[in-house]
Amino acid sequence: MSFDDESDVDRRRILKAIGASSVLGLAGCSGNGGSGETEDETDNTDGTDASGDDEPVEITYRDRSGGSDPSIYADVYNDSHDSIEINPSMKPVEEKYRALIAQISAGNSPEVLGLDVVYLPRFAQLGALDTINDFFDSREYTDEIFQPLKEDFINWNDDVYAMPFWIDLSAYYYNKNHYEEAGLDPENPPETFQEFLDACETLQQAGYDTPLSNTLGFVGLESFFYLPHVWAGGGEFLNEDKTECLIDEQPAVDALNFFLELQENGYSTDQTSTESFTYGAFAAEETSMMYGGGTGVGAVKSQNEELFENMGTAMFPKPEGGTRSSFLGGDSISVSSQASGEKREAALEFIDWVNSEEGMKVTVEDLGYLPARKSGFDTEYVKNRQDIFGAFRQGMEQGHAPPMHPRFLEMQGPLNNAIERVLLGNQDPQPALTQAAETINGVLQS
Amino acid sequence: MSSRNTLSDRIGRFVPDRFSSSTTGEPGINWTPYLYLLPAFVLYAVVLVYPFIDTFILSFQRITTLGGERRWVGLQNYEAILSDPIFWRASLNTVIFSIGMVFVPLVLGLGLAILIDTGVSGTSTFRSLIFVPVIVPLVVAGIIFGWLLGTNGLLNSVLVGAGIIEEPMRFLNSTTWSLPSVLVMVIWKRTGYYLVILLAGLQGIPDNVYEAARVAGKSRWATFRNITLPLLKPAILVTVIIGIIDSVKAFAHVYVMTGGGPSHSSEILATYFYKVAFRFFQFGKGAAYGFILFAIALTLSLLVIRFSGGSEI
Repeated sequence: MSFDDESDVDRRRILKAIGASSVLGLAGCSGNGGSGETEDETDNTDGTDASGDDEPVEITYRDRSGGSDPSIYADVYNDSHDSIEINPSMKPVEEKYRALIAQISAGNSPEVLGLDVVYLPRFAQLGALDTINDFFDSREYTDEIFQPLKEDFINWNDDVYAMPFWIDLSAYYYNKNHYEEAGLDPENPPETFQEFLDACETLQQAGYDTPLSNTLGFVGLESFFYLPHVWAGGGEFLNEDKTECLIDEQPAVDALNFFLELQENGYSTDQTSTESFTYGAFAAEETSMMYGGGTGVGAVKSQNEELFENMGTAMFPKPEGGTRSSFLGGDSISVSSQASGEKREAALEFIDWVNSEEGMKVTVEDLGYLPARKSGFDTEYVKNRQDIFGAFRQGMEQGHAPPMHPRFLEMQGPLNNAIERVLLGNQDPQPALTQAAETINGVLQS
Repeated sequence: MSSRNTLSDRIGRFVPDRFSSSTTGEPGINWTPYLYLLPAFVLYAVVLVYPFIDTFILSFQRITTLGGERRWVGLQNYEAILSDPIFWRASLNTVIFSIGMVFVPLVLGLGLAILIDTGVSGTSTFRSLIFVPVIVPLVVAGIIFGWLLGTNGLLNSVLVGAGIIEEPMRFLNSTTWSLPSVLVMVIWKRTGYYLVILLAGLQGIPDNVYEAARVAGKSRWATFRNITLPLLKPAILVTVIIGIIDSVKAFAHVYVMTGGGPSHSSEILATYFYKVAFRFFQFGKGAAYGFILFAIALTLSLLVIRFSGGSEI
């Protein structure tokens, strides 16, 4: 074979391999782009003005679908307002942010963005959100927004980028009938780690083999369920400057030991599971308690009306001498930095409305989430079920928003992995959390 | 360039040059063919060449705003990935995953193809049954296997019921069993796919070759080794290359069943790539990750073609 022939064959081989590999190289790009384009076609966010003075200003409100459907805000608003029309644009959580990034990059952002609070700093950092400092300061009702929501939930780098919207906080639910049958006081659910473990033991001895439904397997739930136990012991995830991770300190180790005890004694469903969420077993009364969020109320109500009438909620237990806490999650609501003129004004008016009495009623009664203002708890609906909403209100006062850091999403993985390694028996709490802290510090420093 | 290198000289017959005007006898270039090619070329450039080049440039940048501002960071993105222990964990898992995804179904598919090719009774029903998993959507298969292998799933119920184990096993949320559990689903799904390709290859081998082997007194094993395998090489090569590329870009298999967990025990390159790019929104790093995956797929494809000893697929 001549040299020329050999190089010819090699070229053909290389071209074949490049052709085959290009399929891979473009797989990610095409998939994402496609979803963005489809979305663009359905949204009316082309920036053109609504024609004519009588025509309403049309703006698009983007939020997540699945479970409760926030598009109901738009429906209720549109029914009572003529000058502004809200076009709801809901996307499943997995796709919502990818599609949103594509739209914003193309200069075609929805005007109103409902953002999971853990995403807010990243979108603010990427310049997708408008600051609304003046708007926030001009609202009289901001005085009655729960303090933890004002401190962290809506701020990044000393600017206000959002208003608190619908809140989903973490707490535990318990079956009052099971409590009574086991000899526990349903009006005084356990408050400390030890009391909680003792209650689990009592329930187990009364025949409820797996007293607690809980899972920490999904990334994000470690923040929702585990971090409040750390905060309850005086611990923090990051230091005040957000330059160092503190998750390897004693309160965090104590909290993880608590979950390990639940696991090792068979008090809980497998907490490492990613098979399903925990509402099903509790709603079916196979378990007596459940770690959950505000959505648990609606989930139990729809699956077991009788249990709904006989359940209570409580804030998570605390270590001796600590202060009970909760994770304040859910959505904040922002104006896109691409919205201007009358569309920006319309967006702010809608944002104002969702925090009005009417908007908060939708939040609580239609969506099953919690309002950001104290007056949102002063309704008949809430007063009638103080055994459920009492703990939620306490959680709003004493809870914590997540650390507002643009890379918090990256920090959840190492913590989740550490918890899983401990619960699977692969590592002890202290070294696992030290390893997690080192990884998170690496993220903070990169 | 010497005339020895022209296409017509090499294949020894006259081939008209459609891209010059020599056939019309007029001087200059005939632009008509280029005009016909233009729409395809523009489409190719817009949907493939431009994104490819832009993504390559992005892999050396960091996006600072979604308005299009980028900052040049040189090789930082590549350095960050190559110094990330999860990348290496995912790489090792991808190698294991590839072996499981390519070679196990290949061996099983070859065995089944030979069985079917012998023409034993009931093979058409058997062939249909083996092919059914191929048409089951990947996500559906992942969900079904998630149920089967869950702690409350069918497999655990059978194992506990039969007294083989006392407590349900964690298959999916175990650092030991999560990746093998995904591979079980993958092997189930791909064996039928390989079977069809290999069976077509087997049926393309002329009977008289086997006849000659029989006359020469060759054993079954010698016939398989010296006739079947060499003549089946193009079909095997196709399955291996398709398998390697599929395994490097495999995503939903793992994502649906384990999400890469627990503790990255089933993380593969594509799932981690997805997390970096679309969950953490590290677009520059994600682009660099994409090109590393591209380089791996390119290298593996070249190696397979080279070691197969030929380019005829």
